Amino acid sequence: MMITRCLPTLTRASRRTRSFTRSIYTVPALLNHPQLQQHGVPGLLTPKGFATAYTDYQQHMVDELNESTAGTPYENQDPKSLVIEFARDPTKAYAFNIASMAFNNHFFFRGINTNPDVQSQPSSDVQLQINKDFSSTATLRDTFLATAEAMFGPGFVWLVQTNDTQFGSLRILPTYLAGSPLSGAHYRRQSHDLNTHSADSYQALNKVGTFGHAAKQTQGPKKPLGGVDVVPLLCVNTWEHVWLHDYGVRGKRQFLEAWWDKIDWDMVGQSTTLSARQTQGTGQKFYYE
Amino acid sequence: MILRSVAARSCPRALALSSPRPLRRFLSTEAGSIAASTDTSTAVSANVAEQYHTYKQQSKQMGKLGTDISPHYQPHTLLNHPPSPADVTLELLLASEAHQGHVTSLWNPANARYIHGIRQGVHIISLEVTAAHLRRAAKVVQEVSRRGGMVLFVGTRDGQDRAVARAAELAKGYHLFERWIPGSITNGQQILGRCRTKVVNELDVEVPGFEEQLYDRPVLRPDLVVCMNPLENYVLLHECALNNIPTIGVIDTNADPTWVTYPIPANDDSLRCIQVIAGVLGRAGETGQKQRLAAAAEGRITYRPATGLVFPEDDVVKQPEAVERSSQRKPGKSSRMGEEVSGEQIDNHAESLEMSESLEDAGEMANKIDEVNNHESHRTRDGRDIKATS
Repeated sequence: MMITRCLPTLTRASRRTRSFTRSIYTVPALLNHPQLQQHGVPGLLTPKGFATAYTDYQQHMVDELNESTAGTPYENQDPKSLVIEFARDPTKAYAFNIASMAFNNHFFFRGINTNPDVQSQPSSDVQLQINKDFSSTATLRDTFLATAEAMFGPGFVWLVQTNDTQFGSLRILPTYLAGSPLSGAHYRRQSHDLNTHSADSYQALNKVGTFGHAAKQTQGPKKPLGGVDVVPLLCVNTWEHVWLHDYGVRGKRQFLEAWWDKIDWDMVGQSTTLSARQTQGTGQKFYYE
Repeated sequence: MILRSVAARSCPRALALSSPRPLRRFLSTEAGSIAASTDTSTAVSANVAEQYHTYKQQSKQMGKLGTDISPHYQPHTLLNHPPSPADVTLELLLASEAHQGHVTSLWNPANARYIHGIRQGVHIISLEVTAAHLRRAAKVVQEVSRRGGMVLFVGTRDGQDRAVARAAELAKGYHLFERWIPGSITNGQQILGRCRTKVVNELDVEVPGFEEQLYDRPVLRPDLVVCMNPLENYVLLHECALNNIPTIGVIDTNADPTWVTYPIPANDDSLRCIQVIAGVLGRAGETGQKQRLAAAAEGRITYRPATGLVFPEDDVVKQPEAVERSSQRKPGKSSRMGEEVSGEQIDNHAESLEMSESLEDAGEMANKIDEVNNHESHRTRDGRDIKATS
């Protein structure tokens, strides 16, 4: 009974009657947006592929967001704050999904270098950090693309910067389906495919009901405020609708390799300089939920 | 590298975030770890400012990702970034519900000229009239501020306190959101006589050394009063009228427009409308203050300085070129008029030489009348009562 009663809130918002309200959310424009709509992303997506991956899909997410949030206290909030707000509430799972997909998809397309005349290279600071954490750009590429290819099913793969000095500052983070890399939305990070995990490992992820002196509790220092411990730098969208039209069902690897050459490393550099410096030499360990 | 690829294909978990926590699952808490956590926690708390700064930077970088949000009403902007007189449009007034009057049976017929019509049994105030009157009132506030006058913003209804305080902050004036104490103007020496007064120069910098001379001066009065709810402040407005103090008031369809000098026909029951009007008038005062200080920086004085003050060094002769201006100390956090300081009254002496003789006598006469009226039997000097000097 309880399960069926919850279902309507978790399904599509379009079942409700459409109301004649002003749309608060609109599709954001990318750099060189008219050129992209006409010619697609040079070297990555055809015009039809771009229309499917961004224009139509982002419009779909925007419409769903408008319907889900209209008339609620959340109606004027940006998707990032909606993601953090809804991540902890299971009854708002659908609203989280659409807000997270809108955020992640825009992040993905913003991180693509759409200028065909420019070959983007990482800046020296970023290159130094990559060499420190991955020993070379080639290793980073191989690891990243292998992770993305190994993920069965849709999702995103992120390069994030953390303050954790034990494992390295730059790290690769996969998020399945509509998972979010943001620190404040860690309840819905979805970095593991639970279908291929044992029950014990699932308990390691889910800490519901763990309290008392016998339960495992993180005794480390608290996370920094504002969710600044995880800084997403770049991501790849491995959802099928992005690459299916242009690359076919077997073309995931080809799409990933084409995408790697189109990364806008300037955007990565912008994001990475904003992260907190490593203040302690011995390193503060932040415990992840 | 090969091993890592194999691992990635079969077990991406190995490459993802891995923590040592599974190994420690069955360990009990250790004293060492608690000590370590307290050490690092103090270090973390010391970094809160840095974390906040980083958080703000990250919000700028990726806070707006996902969708574009169309412009919409954000209530806090009316208080934090109020509109200026140039931003007053009919659309703004309509959205702020400034046109909503009361039920037709409750109207004051003197407001007929401000009313556009009737809808659903209520009078609708004409927004062109509202805009015109609001612009006029803004000009009055700006000019009074430019000429160094004291503006008092009054709003005693629930929720008007923030708007009124913000307007006074912008216009460098005074605010009141608690009950007006009757007699604060007509009986000012009794109610406000114990407040501190100070003398400031043209750049609003306090000049010390005038304490002795300030004891005998009468209590200050505002030069302009802006009232957000005249219906509840009849006594205040009447006292202002008795003392020739111009008033500005938000006049609803059931209010009496003759109570104020410059009515603004608008809806006084809507907080959003009051915030818009208070914001506009506060911005106008801010403009006037900026003009006054800019002129003072160039050496031009836009007001009539107080006379009767002698520089503390030479007590022989009055300095006619004295550019001292006495003014009230700005109230801090307290809101009650009774706790505000009283200041100096600006004497109505003319600056030009031609009119000095005739008006000087009149000014001195006015001074003497004020002293007779304002003198009380109790005055405090150094905290003790002194004998009255008539």
